[in-house]
Amino acid sequence: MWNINRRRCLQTLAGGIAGLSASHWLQPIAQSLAAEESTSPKRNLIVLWMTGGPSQLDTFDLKPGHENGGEFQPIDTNVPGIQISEHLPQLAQQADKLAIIRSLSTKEGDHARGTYLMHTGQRPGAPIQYPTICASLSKELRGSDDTLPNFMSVGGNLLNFNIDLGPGFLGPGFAPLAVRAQGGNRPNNDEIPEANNPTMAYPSFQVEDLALGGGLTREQHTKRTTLWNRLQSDFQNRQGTSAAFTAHQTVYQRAMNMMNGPTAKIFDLSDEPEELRQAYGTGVFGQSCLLARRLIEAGVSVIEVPFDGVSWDTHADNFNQVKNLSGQLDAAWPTLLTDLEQRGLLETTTILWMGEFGRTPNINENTGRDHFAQAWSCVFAGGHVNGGQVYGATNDSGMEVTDNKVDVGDVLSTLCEAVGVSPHTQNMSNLGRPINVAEGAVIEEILG
Amino acid sequence: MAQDETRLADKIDARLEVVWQEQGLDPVVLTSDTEFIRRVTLDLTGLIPRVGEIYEFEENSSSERRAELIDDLLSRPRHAVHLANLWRSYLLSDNLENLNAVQIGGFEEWLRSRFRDNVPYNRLVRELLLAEGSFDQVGPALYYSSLEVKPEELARSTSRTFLGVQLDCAQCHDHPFDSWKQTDFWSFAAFFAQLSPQPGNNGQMMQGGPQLTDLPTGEVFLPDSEQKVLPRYFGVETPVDTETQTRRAALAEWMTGEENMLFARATVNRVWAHLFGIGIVDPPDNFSSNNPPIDEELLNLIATDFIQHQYDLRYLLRELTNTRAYQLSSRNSNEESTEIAEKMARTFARHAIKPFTADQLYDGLAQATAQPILSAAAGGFDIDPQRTTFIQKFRRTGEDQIEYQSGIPQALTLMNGNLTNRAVAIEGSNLLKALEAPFYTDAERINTLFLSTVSHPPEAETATMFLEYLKEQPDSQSKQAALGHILWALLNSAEFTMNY
Repeated sequence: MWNINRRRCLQTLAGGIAGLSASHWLQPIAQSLAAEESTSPKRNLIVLWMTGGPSQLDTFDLKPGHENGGEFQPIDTNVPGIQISEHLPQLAQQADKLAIIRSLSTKEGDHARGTYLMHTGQRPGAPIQYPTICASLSKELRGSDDTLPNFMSVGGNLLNFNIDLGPGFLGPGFAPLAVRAQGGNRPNNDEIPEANNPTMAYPSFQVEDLALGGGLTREQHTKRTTLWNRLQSDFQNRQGTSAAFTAHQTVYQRAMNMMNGPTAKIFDLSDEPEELRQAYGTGVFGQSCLLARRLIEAGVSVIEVPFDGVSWDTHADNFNQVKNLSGQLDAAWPTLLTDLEQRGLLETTTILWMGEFGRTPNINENTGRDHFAQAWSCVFAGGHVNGGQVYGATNDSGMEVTDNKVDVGDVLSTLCEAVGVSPHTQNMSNLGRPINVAEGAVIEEILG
Repeated sequence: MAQDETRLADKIDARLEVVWQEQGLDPVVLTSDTEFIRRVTLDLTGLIPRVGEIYEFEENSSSERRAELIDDLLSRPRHAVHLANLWRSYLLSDNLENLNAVQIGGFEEWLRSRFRDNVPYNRLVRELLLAEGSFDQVGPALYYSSLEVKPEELARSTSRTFLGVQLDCAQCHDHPFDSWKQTDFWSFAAFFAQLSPQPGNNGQMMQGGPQLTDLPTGEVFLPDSEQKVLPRYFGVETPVDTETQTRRAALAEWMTGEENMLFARATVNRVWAHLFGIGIVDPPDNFSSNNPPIDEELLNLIATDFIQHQYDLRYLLRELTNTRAYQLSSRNSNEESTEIAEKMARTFARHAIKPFTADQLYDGLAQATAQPILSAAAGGFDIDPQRTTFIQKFRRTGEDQIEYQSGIPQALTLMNGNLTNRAVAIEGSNLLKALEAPFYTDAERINTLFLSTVSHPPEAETATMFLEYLKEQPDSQSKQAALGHILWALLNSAEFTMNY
């Protein structure tokens, strides 16, 4: 315990250095901290983002016996006393790895605003450009010799619409590298494909702008690179070596290595055993989760996997849709947990499952559920998470939080602690004011 | 010549000589002409020089040709456009989500008209602070709506942007390192307390065109208390008399008055930082007892002169760009210790290298390849989705102009993205199309590609190498592609993406 407190304290101090250039005496402490940290294993984070807003009542907070409860029945899990949806049977067998929060309560019920809120902890519209928590954490978790960008977004897109959500005041260097899925089995609100149809073709993954443009051959690209090298060395010979030049050269070298080197193979999943690919689910979400595991292995610290489409936005036909979506989730997520575990990566990889908000407990005339932010659920799993528990509760109707109400800031602060970053770590904002990575209370019970 | 007849540029150089001598530093050599035209054109118009301008400058045999170029650049409409873009970024921050393109366009148009007419800067700021009327129609009121007419936001932004004073920490508690007390923050915020509309909670209140007007009432209170705080000027104990004028009018008069050295010092420092990449006080918006200017006398002599010249920005820009200091090379010495290199940079004995802003990069790409420059040509905040996406991806953060901030995603986009693909293909590049003309030699073609992008001809050996590469090509089609590859290399080079 002393160690943890000392670490937190030191990190707070170290984080403050950015803001206090005069505090030279802090530097030795920060250095000793860095030395201490480097001996502990690298921590990672995967956000499973349920685009559209998942129904808490049909996944992790069922209300059997109440008219709001709907069609689904709860089932027992491998943790006595914890029940989740009958359509998540595989996940139920790994409930000992999950910390389910049923008492999340927020204040944004619009897709774009909710997406911004849950990623930054802030409501949109302030003059400060807040970064997504993934960017902030990837900055803290990065290594000095990373060959890959330390934050990638795989699969679908966020519904942030016209609200700019990304690295914010951290600067463009902390933007996620986008990995897009092409082809494959996609959920669609109009027609419901089978969740994990084994005959479907797998999606393929493409890193944005990684492929050579304009029908260029490898050979032509090599020629371009030769010309470019010449220009770089001319500039360096004439202008000397500046910090800006070195940074440019390093970033380009890494990007070129990604284009040419073995890292490009990470995005081709065809060398994975067929059985494992099937287990993750053949759709975009399942294969994206598999890619996330490969990226963790390759040293990327932060991966966000947004469910593609507006999948979980079940205003109509909620039960058929959620059943289908649950099928995909129930293939991918438990497989990800065991896959990471078998490779010894689960204890260093924290997983957060959430969306922009939950859904209304009452069922509308289209057998759907609408946007609802007042009382909903999110789930922590994996590294440094005290699994096998439910935290907080809602009342019988699901309308109100009755126990341990949690705000978005608490969730994000807890996420920070789980990956070993103090939420009080500060960065300088675009307005010249130091800003904490997250504002809120760490939910100590969630941490393991 | 009597002291007061010496021009400001010479006074600055004389003062810097003293600073360098005290530090035992030797300033680097002057820039070459090609380096100079690129630097000053970027700094005064936001664009890289066109090939024709480079030739024209080279052919001018006048000994005053640098000064003449500066006068020419300052007189161009594009200069006013560039200043408007800069001040929009200072005044509105980058977070424009709650503003629409029409409003921003109106704000920029207002700024452009002020810079075009070279309105004294203190008058410009007074107009901004005293803006009234519909948020939908007039320009300067947008400053208020972008800050949601919240007294605390307006106080933070106004003191930081115009006075270089960061009161932020004092909003919640007395400033930990400075003499600012919490009451200082709120007494400054009190100047903005009597405004309509009063702030709401939803950030949407500006829609539908409410009017910005002064109210007879409205107060601010210390947080979590009922202690009312009255408006006070910095460093003055007694509250301001606002019986005869509105609170805003009292503030504007004090802020932009000739006795207020804070305003003049913050302004000249910001302009200096724009040109030199580093402020005399740096970061340029953080004047504090903890963060003194690198040379007090230098800052004061410029600020005093600026006041004497009626806050004439064009005059200030002309004098600063005419200094020897501004025209020093940015060449680094590989033999220097880091400590000396830092001292040289900090005292302006060597010019800084500034990586392009997102705007400069986009406009530079468009301009270098002779594609239409939507926003740059029109000068307006545009809603071209390609440009918006690009700017979002490459946008810099903070006040630091020296740091190269891009990462792997940006490098990949510049190498393989659509914008570059089009620019280096004959179908999409007017530059490459023009080079098809039969009267060009290959050497001239290479030369033109270099001048269009990095503003100077290639080194001799490089020219030979690139020429041989062209000669290797078996047919005109592959030669065409080869020119595209050279252009690709130039557009992706460190040199293209930096103002040095």
